[in-house]
Amino acid sequence: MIIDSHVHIAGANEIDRLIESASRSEIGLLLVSSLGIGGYRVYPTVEMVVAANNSVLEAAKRFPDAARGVCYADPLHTEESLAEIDRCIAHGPMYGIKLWVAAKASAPCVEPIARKAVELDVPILQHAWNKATGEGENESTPADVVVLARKFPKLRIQMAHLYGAGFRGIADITPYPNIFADTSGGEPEAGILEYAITQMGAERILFGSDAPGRGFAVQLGKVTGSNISEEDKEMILWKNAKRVYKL
Amino acid sequence: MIDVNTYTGNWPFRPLPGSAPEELLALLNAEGIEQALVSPLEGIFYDEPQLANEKLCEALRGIPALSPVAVLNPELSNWRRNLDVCCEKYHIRALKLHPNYHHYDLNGDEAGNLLEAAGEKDIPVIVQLRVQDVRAQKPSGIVADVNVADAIEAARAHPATRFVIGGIRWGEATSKSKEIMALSNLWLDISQIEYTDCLRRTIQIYGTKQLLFGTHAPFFVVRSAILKLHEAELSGEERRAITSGNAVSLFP
Repeated sequence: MIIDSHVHIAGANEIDRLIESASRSEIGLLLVSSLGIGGYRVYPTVEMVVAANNSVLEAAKRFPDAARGVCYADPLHTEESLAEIDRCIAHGPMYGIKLWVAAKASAPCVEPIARKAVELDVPILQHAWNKATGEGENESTPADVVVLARKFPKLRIQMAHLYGAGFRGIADITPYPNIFADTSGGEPEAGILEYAITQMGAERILFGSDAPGRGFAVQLGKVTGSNISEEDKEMILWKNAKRVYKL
Repeated sequence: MIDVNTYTGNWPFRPLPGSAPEELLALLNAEGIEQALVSPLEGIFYDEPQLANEKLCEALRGIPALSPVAVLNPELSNWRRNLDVCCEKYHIRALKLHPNYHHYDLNGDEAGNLLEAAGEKDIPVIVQLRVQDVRAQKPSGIVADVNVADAIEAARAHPATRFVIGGIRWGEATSKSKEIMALSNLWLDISQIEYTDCLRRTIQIYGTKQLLFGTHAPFFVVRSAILKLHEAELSGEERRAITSGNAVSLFP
C-alpha cells in the first residue's frame, strides 16, 4: 500500500475528497497535518494551532485506515506546543510533529520540541526549501535542517520538499543519516530523484505529495516514472514511511 | 497520443535525461506517446536562435514521429527571413516564443509583426510562460514568468493567428478562464497544470476543445503526465480530444 507522507487539510471535511482522489492513484494511507482552518497563517495563534490539530484528529477518527495524523506545533509558543504534542501524540493517536515557517529549524526555540520528539520517538516533518527568489522571514533551508539534525542526532527529521531543496539541498543533508526527505516540493522534474538516491540512498526518501496544493497523480509519477529500481520504488512508496513513523 | 510540448538539446544548469531526439522519443514511446512537437532548448540561449532551429531540424530528419517547432526572437531583424526558411525548408509545425528569456514585449510592435506573419503562414504560435519554476532557478540569473495576460492579449490582438499557451498553471487557467474561453484561436498545453484532480476540474471549466496534452519532457517525468490522464478518468471522447484530436486539428 502506497503511503503519502505529506498531506494537508484545512478542515476535517476536506479529508473525504483527498482520500477518494488518492485512492484513484492507488495511494492507501495519508499522513495528514493541518496548518490552519480555511487558510494558513505564518504566525498562528495557539487557538489556531489547536483548531487545526482538532480537524486532523477528527479526520483520522473518521478514516482510521486511510488517514493518520501529524501534529502541527508552533515553536514560538513553547509550553503550549509541548502540551499540544502531549495531547495529540503522547495521549492521542498522532504519529509525528509538523513544523512549518514560524521559526527556522536552526532556531533555539525549536529545541524543546525536538527534545520532546526524541522522548516520544516520533519524527518531525520540517518544511524546507532553497528558493532562488529568497525564503520567507523564518522559512528553513536544508542548511537549517542540518543544524537541527546535528543538535539532535537521535531525532528523525523528514525534510519536506526534496525537489524544492534541489541539488544543493541534497548535498547539504546527505551526510546526516537522521535526515530523511520527502519527494514533494514543486514540479516533477526529471533526474532529481535519481541523483538523490545516488547521494543519500533510497532508504532515506519518502513519497510525499503536499496535496491538495499538488496533485497525487503528478507527484506519484515522480517516483513510479523515474529511472530507479523496483526495490528503491518500494522503499520510497511505503517501506520507509512505515519505518520512520513506526506505522 | 500527441505531445505538444517537448524539447531536445542541453540545459545549462543540469543534465536532462533524453536530451537527444532518439532518447526523447524512447522516453515518450515507453509511456505510449507516439508523436511529439519538439523545440530546441538552445533556441532559448543562443544569440541567434535560428542556429538552434537548423540544428534541430537536421537532427529530426528521418524521425517523422518528432515534428520541429522553431524558436524565433522578434527583436532580431532577420526574423522574417528565418521564418521563411523554417516554413519552406524545414516545414515546422509551430513557432515557440520565449519573451521572458529573450526580453521583449509580446505585445510590442516587432512581436506583433511576427505574430501576424505566423498567422498569414498558418503557423500556430506557442507562447511558453515558463520553462522552469522561478524558485528553482539560479539566484544570479532569475528569469521571471511570462504574464499569462500578455499571452491572452496577443491572441486577442491577432485573431487570425492560432495560439497555444505553453506551461500554464492551475491558478492562471482558473483565474483567466473566461478570457481564454472567449477566444476561439487559443489553446492550452496542460503539462504544468497541477492541483488535486486538476485535469477533471479543468475539463469541468473548459470542456476539452481547448486542451492539449503536453509532458514538458525531458524536464518533467513523462509518467506524471500520463498519470494525470488516468487520474481524471477520461471518457474515450475526452481522451481522444485532449491527447490527439485537438492537436491534429491545430497542427495538421
